[in-house]
Amino acid sequence: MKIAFLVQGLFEKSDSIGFDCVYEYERVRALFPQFANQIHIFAERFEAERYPDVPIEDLDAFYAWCRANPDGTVIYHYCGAWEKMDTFLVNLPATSVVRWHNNTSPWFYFSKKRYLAHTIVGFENIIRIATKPNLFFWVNSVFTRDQFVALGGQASRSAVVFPASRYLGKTADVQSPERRFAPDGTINMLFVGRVVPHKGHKSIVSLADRVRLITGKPVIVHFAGREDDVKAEIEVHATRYPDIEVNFYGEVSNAELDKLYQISDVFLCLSEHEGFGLPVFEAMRCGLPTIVWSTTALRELMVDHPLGFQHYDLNMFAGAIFALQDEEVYRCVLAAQQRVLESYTAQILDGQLLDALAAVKGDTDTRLHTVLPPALQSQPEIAHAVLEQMQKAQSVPKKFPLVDRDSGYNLFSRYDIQTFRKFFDRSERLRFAAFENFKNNGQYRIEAREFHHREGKFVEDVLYFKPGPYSAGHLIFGPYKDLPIGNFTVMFDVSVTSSDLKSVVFDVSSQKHGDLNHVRTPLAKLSKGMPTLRFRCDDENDIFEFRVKFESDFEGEVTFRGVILSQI
Amino acid sequence: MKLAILAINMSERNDSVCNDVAYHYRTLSSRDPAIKAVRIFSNSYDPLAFPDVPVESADAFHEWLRQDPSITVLFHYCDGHSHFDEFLREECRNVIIRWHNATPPWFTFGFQNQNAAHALLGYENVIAFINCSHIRFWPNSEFTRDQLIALGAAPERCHTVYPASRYLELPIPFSSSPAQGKTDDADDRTLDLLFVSRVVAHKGHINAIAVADRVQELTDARVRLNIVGKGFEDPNSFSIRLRKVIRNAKAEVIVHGLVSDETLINLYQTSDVFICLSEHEGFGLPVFEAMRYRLPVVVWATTAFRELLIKHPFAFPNFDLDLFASAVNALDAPGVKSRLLEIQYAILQTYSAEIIQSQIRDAIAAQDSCNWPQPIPDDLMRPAIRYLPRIGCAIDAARTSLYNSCPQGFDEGLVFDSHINITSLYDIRMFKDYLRQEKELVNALTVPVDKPSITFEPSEFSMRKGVYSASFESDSISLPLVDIEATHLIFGPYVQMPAGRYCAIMHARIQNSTQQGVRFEMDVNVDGQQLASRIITISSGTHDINGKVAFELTGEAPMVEIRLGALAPFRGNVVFSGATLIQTDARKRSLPIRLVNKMVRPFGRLWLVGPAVKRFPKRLVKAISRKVSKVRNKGT
Repeated sequence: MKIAFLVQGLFEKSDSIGFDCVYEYERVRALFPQFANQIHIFAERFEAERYPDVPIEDLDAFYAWCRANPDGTVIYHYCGAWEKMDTFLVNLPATSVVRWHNNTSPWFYFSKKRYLAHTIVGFENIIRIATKPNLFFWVNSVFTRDQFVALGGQASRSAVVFPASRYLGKTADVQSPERRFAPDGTINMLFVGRVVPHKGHKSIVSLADRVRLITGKPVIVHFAGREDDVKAEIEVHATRYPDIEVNFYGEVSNAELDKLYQISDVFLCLSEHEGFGLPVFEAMRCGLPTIVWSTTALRELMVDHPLGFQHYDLNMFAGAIFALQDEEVYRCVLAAQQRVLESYTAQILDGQLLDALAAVKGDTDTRLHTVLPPALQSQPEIAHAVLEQMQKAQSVPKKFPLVDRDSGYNLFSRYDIQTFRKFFDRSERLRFAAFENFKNNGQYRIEAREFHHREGKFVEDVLYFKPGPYSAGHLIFGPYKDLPIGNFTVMFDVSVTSSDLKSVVFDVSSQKHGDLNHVRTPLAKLSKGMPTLRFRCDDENDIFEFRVKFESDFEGEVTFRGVILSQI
Repeated sequence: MKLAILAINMSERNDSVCNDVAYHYRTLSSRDPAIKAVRIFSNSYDPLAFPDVPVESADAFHEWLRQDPSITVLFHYCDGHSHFDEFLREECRNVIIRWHNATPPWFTFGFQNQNAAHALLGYENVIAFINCSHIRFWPNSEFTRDQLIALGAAPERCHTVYPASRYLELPIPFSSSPAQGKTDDADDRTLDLLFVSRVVAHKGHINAIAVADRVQELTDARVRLNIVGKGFEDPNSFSIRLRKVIRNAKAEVIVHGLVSDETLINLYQTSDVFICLSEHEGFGLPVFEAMRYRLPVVVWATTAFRELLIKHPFAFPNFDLDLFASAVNALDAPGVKSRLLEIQYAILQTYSAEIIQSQIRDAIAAQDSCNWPQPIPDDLMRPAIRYLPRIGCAIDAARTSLYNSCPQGFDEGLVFDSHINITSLYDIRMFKDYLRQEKELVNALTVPVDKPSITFEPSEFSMRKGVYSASFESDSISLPLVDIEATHLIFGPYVQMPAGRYCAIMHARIQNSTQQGVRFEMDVNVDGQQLASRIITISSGTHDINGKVAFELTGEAPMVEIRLGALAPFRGNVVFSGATLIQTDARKRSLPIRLVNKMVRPFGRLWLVGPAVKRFPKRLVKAISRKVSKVRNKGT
């Protein structure tokens, strides 16, 4: 048994994919001690100190291992498009495994173009490799397997292996009498997960207000997890509920997380997309009652959880929190959660790993039989006749062109409404763009809202920096936009008032070429006209940003209304 | 309870929705003791279509509701908007919407955008109904019910009632050998596959051909796919694509089009297997009809089929051409077909008149809020909580109390995903298009423009007999010559344009097979008033016309109609490629810089063009006028 575990990076602090790779490497070695020296782990980039007991090897060593072991199996922990490696694995003589933890669906990133482009690339890559005959997929849930099939993969070339968790071995004494719901009269609600659009942070804030309404108790919301600029939107949403206290903690250490689990009364997961949903299991292992919107992977994983609700209903979720105030309900839920946890244990993971390794090498018939619908499996004679025909079909291979098709059970959502509406409105704007262009003299405004900033605040369409001290550096930057090929001018629509500042620097830079042009504009001149820069875009895939920079610390007030773009 | 059954249309005997309406009337008027009075109304009906159903006018409906506002209205909803929507939402106290689901826009998006836009309008209207908490729903399957819940309807507002079908009253034949089948002289080396459906993008015609092709590759028999259903001749991009796929098919494909009942029954009885690889079904009646005729079916178990055919061994949830083809070929193995027919017989028992009547009774009982027990939300009926009654009761009480102060289970300001949503290949294509479109827009808004212009596609115009769109023409080898009347042949696109001077060009090729010349008039109209016209005389033979008509638009966002009409009847045809409007008084103006891009979409939702706009032009124009005034006031 020769196995190479491969992952692109093993250097980040909270990296679930890296952790999963190392866990599988260690478990497979433990399960096959006689072959331990034939099982290796490789990474393109790694920090040995982060995994002191793991003998991680580099990519050169990986390629050498593949040359020396043409019959070996590579288990590649996929975390995004890595075309060089995809091509390499597709061309290997032996079957390789792609370990896939799902990708976030594009509709969640509709207003975040950068992420949208990234997630589309990720999906396209899965589509590209899903049909390669010598790749086998280890997916992290049945939901992810359905997603794999929807993208053109065959269920018979996949196996479900749950992800690893740091908390797998943790146990909590859930029946301890000290454990009570909201003992001090305040309800503390916790969610742990990246602060990204689809994790349901806003829903939790809305829910908190309904909980306050029905219980009459103060409610505090705690959010832990790596943050990005979505946090600002959640904060704006939270201002609609002034009676709810919302705390963001960012990425926290294990000790800080343990503390949060201790002070919280209930864990909420209203995430709209989960490949597995580790934090829910981790919260249950820490003895917290959890309330879950059982969508995507959690639909199947929470089937035995009394508070795992399949339909989105804030009143239902709030009702569940209300019910937890009843001591008997509280105890009953905690006991039921222990049963749910039995569906995700280290032993189950070991079993899945063994089955998945066997499936990679196993015979086709067994694989095909396992993916037949239950109604067919229950009719052995018919199933046998179908399998005979399937064998025949496999001996007459054909490359089916991948025709666009639906995923099988796809409900039209409110996101779809929003997406199609925006799309059609913009299509129409595009049709009439020549007239709009003509009215505006070919000048197109990129609104201030599309930009990033340091210490500013959006007031309607304007990015405003109130009078005060600001440190030197780029105050405004973005929008990280790709452009059509052409020669452009960009005008900065900005006003600056300051007593100690002489000039402001405006620049254009691109991801591929860095600084393209810049100008230092005296403050006096800024009030008379807009600073204007010329630049050229010669690559449709390049990303551009327009920045406002202050060369020294200053006291002042800044108003930014976006930039105006035109072609020459 | 008094019940008013309201239908958009009750004039087509064979229409499935009309049959469903009639079935509800018959059931509720004769058997249900809870119903004191039932009347049926429609604003379009033919008394001969359903002689036993006394349909009354829409006026009578309004009169009855005026007399007694407590009457329950069972409205058979048919996509898009209707004149009743606002009344039902705002004036009526007790409303049930009967919904047969709607095709989502992703199936037609990108190549039949008008259909996609229309589909979106329909869904927006359904959401408007959902947002009224007094409205309940009768979906036609659990899948459709799921769809309503995904859009925000509380589960207890939705009661599944299967659709009525003409075949429901027929006895289900059951015998160990096929009652009828191919005649003895039929070629037993031919495998006949049957598929029955309208020719529209989401019904899986191309998938069915792919299965037939794969079966052909794997078997020695000759494979013949019979496709039945209307729409094949429609000049749209999907039927054009389908024709190309059929031309390249390995299996023989016979398109029967719309056939008589007798022909269809004959096809059910003589085919070997029914295949259905539809991508979206609210219920999927043809599969049940095929099973009723003892035809083995092989199905891609999507949408409603996933639940309805859960016990069917050949209903495959995962798309796999090899699996579909293997199932078809496995029917030849000894005992497989007879066992399958036994299972299908059992499945047919789950869709019967008795079951529908019981569903209707339950749904009517749930309508009465005094009745006990009240429906329990699905999430409290799950096995994980059903057996923990203390938890379930506590949650139910708290939730019910919250619904009094928060009548919706969602926050108006938040968008939420449906509870089952897997990223599909359509999603990937659509979002890629979206990214590409943004770049195109930046280019179109920044590149220097001297003479703004826009070209309208043929699909944005109405066309009379003898007129073909250019894309359709390119697919056909030769177009027929037909007798064309002296009337307006092409008219549209009914689009609001900015004021200014324009010239309009119509791109058409006219074939005149008569000996004498024929005069045509091309004209431009606004609000029914002719602004400009031009007479063109076409002699015998084929001629391209690209004549220009100059005109001036004044006022606020006038709605433009361009027409081409024959002034005398002739024999021939017209191939139309669209019309272009060019602004001719374009001069660069200096704009105050603060206004740049503040005048975005000054004409409102311009995608409401062509046939869609004709449904409510007055309302649209008013809305646009309001929008334009608002923008202008802001600008000054």
